[in-house]
Amino acid sequence: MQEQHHILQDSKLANVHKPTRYIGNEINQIVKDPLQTEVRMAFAFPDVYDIGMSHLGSKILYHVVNRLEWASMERVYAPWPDYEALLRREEAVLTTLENKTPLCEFPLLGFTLQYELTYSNLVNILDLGRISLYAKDRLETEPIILAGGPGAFNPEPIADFLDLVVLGDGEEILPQLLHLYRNLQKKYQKRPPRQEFLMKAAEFDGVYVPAFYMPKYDEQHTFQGIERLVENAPMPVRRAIVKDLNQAEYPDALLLPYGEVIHDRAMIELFRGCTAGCRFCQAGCIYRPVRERSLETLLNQAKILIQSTGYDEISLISLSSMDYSQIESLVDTLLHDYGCQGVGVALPSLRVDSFSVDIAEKVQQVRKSGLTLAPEAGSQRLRNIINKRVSESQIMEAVSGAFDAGWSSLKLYFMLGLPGETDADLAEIIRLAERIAGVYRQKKRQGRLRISISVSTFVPKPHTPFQWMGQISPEEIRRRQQLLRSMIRDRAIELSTHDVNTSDLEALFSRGDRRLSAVIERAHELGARFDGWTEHFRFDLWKRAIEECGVDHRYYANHTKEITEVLPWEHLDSGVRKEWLVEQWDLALKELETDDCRFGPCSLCGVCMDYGVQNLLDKESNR
Amino acid sequence: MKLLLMFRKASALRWISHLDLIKVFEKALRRAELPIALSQGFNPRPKMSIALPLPVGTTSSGEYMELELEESMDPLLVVKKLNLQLPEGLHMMQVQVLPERGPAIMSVVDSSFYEIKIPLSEEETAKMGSVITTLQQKSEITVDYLNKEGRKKSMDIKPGVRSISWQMDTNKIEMHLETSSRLFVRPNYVLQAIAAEMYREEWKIDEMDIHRVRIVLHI
Ligand code: SF4
Ligand code: SF4
Repeated sequence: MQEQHHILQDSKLANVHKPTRYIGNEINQIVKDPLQTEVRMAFAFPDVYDIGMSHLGSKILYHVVNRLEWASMERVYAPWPDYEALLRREEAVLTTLENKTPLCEFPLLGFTLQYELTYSNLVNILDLGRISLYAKDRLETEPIILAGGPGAFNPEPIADFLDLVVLGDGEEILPQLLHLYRNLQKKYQKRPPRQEFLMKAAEFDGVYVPAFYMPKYDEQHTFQGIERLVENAPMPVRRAIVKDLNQAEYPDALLLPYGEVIHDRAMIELFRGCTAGCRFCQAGCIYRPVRERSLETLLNQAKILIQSTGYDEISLISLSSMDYSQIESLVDTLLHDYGCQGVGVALPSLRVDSFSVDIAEKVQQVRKSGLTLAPEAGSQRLRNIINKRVSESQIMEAVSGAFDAGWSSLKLYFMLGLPGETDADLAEIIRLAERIAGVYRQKKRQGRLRISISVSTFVPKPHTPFQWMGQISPEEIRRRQQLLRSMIRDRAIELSTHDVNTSDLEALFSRGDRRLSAVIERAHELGARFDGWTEHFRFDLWKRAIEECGVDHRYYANHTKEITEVLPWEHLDSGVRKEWLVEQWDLALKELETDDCRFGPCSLCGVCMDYGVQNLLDKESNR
Repeated sequence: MKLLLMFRKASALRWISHLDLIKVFEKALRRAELPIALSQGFNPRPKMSIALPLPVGTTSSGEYMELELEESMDPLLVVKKLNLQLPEGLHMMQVQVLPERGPAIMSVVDSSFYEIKIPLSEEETAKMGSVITTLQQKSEITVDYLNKEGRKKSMDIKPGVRSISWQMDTNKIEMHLETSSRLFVRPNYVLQAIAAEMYREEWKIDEMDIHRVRIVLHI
């Protein structure tokens, strides 16, 4: 028996701050008749609409599923606290935007895991959608809960809430899973038993069913590895990889959001993966190798998207767009073909070199916004450790070029708490900024110079060469931030740092294991929501939940692990081999660099051999 | 070529802000591939303006937009092409050609017709007719409002209340109010006066179903 759930009356939206977050009805929205659709899936973004609607991956999946005529995907975003309060006051259930269907009525509900501090929102969405929080408690009538995205590479902290986790690229595996579901549904003439679906799904590369595995701990409560509960469950679980993105689906239309969202422009994805090899970077490991789309594919996609959206700006998305083999031709052609229609080009990430600055200058006729560069570390020694292969002279050349081109406002990104970092390395950050200021003043330009230094705190990430490192303690983070602040003499230099408690919590979840789900459940119960938002973050609630659950925060966040220790995510294969990670860790200790395999020799990370893939670069195109 | 288009904003689209509405139109105009005249400058925008912002939550069947095209085109074709690109809830209903050198439409807004539904007890429903008559006969209707700085002010809206009536068959209040730059009477000011006349508290924001029937332009 399905109970009838109360759905919020439309007029009640008058009570919320930004009602357009909850109405759907955007241009290019796809609404399918529930009665005519065999497999319906809900897709939940565990952050607010404004963020979710800026996320390219979600838009790709929305398109990929909805183009199957027998399947549909409907969206839901984390309700902002004012809307949540309204739902709770009215005892209304959280629904999707498209058909206003209660989440609990879907056979499948998928989350994307973009950021650790959205986990309380994930639980809240389940709760407001009237779905049992724990996978083990779910009835056959309840949705199967899926999750994907970068967070899938260590989903252990939330594994108990999930039925199925997708590792890697989603656009091929997700339709396969829906196919499987459809076939089973045909066989049973109703919702198939979830156990059977999960068993069959686990046969695909890229599918991890947490309930098929159980962690072991010793008397000291140290994690001792993971045990299979189901005989055929893969060990390790392999990753799903799209070999050639030219063959992969890409949206021919993008949802046009209402309200002010973070990125409101057309987007094309130049390539996936990055082999630059920065040792702190998880994206640089879990998406290997580099798979470029051809110039032809991209120009074609750009054309279609501009027509179907009416956007006047197109953003070139990837992990480091300046490394795209045809970046110059791409930018030139786009500017040539669409410039006269008033369509601009946006580059989300720049490399720290003069080539990048030249390209940025080309695309930016109006120089209102500042230029952003990310040297990540102040000293050459530390840049060697993290394998950010950029020299000080390259940095100086880049900024000098930027000043000549008319920029007077620069934003520089650095990290604090990197392995091997000393006070002298921190001093180098400030010295570097001062030298940059010196370059500007030598040029005797008009206009006020502004150098904003943004220093985030290093969070060790699973599947990276630094995965063993503990984060420095909160007290030490504070001391180093203070030290940096005290060293600033130049009035043109501004410093911003990240909230210590936020980084502390990120570090807890980043290398967490299954014992943390109780903490997340409890924090949610106490009222934790939108923990990534300063105005909503309540560290006190988390502290209380951590204490009540008897979890040792310091162990997870700050403990440096032995290379021989089993890691809670080791049964999940990101593609890069453990030997390679160990080797990279060694090279870091020796302050030695590794080449980018796109341009230099293969460093044998393993993904190409183990998955039958390779770096796919568009070296040939010319136009 | 200058066109005056009348449009409807209804259903879920009533929640989009004035700024969003402009964004929706700008992108729809691009997608429709109409020969829109663009403004000069760094950030060229389509030459388009909307007569009067509609508050978030209010529906309307008679809003106006002025549009400038670079070349002449069948106005009905413009409407057709544009409607194909608009989300459900937004719809162009009428079009007319404007003189090249007329005043901006924002400056010729005179007044607006409204239809309003509010929850009423049986007793209140019975009283409504006489309450409206009382208001009609008053020489002054003073209401409170918050000014831009958020300070409480009061004003006499009577000169701007062109007409007000109670429709017994539909239980709707109909109003014709001045909405010009000289005097701007919001329908909820009138509701405030009605509540006061009935000795009851004002209706809550999610209880007022306000529909703008149409804007009256002085052209
Ligand atoms: S350039 Fe470095 S930091 Fe950026 S994505 Fe590649 S590996 Fe990561
Ligand atoms: S296996 Fe070699 S070529 Fe392939 S991604 Fe790894 S390092 Fe690069």
